[in-house]
Amino acid sequence: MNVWALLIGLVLWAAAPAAAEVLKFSPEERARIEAHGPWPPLRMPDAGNRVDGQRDAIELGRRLFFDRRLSASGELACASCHNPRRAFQDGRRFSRHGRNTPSLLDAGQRAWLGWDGANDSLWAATLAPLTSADELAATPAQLFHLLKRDPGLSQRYRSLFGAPLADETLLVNVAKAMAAYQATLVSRRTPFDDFRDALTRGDGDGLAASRYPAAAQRGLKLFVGPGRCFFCHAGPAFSNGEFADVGRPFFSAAGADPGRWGGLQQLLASPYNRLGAYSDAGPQDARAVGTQHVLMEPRHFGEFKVPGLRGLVASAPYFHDGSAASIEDVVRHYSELDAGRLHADGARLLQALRLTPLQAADLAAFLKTLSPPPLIQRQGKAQAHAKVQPAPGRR
Amino acid sequence: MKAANKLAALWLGLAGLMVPAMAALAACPLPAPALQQGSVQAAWAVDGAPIAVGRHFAIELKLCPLDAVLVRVDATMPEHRHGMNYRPSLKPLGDGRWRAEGLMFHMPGQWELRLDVRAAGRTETLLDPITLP
Repeated sequence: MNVWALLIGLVLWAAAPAAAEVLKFSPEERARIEAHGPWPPLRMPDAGNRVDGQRDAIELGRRLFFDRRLSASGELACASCHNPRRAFQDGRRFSRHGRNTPSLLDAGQRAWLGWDGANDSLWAATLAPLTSADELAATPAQLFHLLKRDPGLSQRYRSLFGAPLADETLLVNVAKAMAAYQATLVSRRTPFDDFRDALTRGDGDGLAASRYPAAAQRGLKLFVGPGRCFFCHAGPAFSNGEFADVGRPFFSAAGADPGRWGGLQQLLASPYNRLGAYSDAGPQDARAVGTQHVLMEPRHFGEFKVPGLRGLVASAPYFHDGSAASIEDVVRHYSELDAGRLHADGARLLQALRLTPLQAADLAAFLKTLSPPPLIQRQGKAQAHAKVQPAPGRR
Repeated sequence: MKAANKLAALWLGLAGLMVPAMAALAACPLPAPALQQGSVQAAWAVDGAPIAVGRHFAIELKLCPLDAVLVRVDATMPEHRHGMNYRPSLKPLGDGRWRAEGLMFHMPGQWELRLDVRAAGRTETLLDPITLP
């Protein structure tokens, strides 16, 4: 045998992850694990946005998303806070609106957008920061002039929406184009998905399953078992899409944050919700069912969105107030939770898990496998897409 | 009136009330297993994919007697003493059939579907336990 081939083989063998013994999962555990897939999900069309899924709209939306000229100051683009290198969030504890900036990955799957669910569509959720005085503060006149000055943007806009008018429809259409782009931001498959798929196809003893680390398997058992994390972090996106009070403070520098209670007030009063005239599908839209039937009750005060758990490694810090710097901090919160702080009429859903150090490490190890492995840095198109347009006068 | 006569009169009265109700039930036999409370029978089925955590669903119902009115559909988790985050809307489809839209179970576990049905001047509450794995 060639000595070099033998040496290379030995190096590759040593570098490969050690095969782990696959733990025994009960039928109930397997069913719960299966419910966290498949991934990626089927695209969910948005009938309320007539340009959703259209190539030109995605391209126009992508250009606008990275363009600082959208802001009144010329200093801010959407990508300034939703940075593609950080899972489309900013890594800071608080954003301009006083909460942690949520990742936009998989946002097209969500029924409610934002920590308080104040918006029921991606385009309405885009419109809010686009026009907010604290954020981009864009106006119809400003966007009208931007299109007038940039033939590339103008041509695409006209092909999708017709001649631009300097009124509210321009803001809505720009938001819909950017929503078409954001709907394409889907998180990549993860080591958990490979393990879950192997179990689902009955290949739990195969190579794919054995590559999944033993600590992550033990953490997964906690997640779908005594930890009861799957109660709220349900389904392929690891979120039931609803809202909960998990014992984080709802007081911030700006005062008490009403969370879902305030979000519902905004949603129901908004002319841009799925029941309003700006939706291209109207109330008959299947995705309007939530807005049509949602209840607003005092218990919603201080509740915040149950976040999806995919891509966690790249989206620190965590919780609505960005108060957990690491995944280990999140696990510690649930391990030491002050259940007395939480309102409960019946049996408590959340109780301190009182994890041993090994269990806490296992749960964190599992949560980290919900992120894709790092991409090898690629030059060219992908990086160009991630580039924020310079502010005026800096070109 | 003697006590025995009183009892006989009571039975006759009850029978008088029950005969029309029984006839109404017989007029619309429901697929088993049907829920029953007082004079009201109900059967329901999910319209579409099976119920999943965090996903809206609709149900179609059949009521007996046929002129019974579905006044409320709700669901709670008795153990945790909380309900859904949504209030379903109701639509009569005719011939004792109804449709309820906008239900969502946001957690796995034991839920209890509640149907309030108005019939013969009374509101009956029918409960059906549902386990969401």
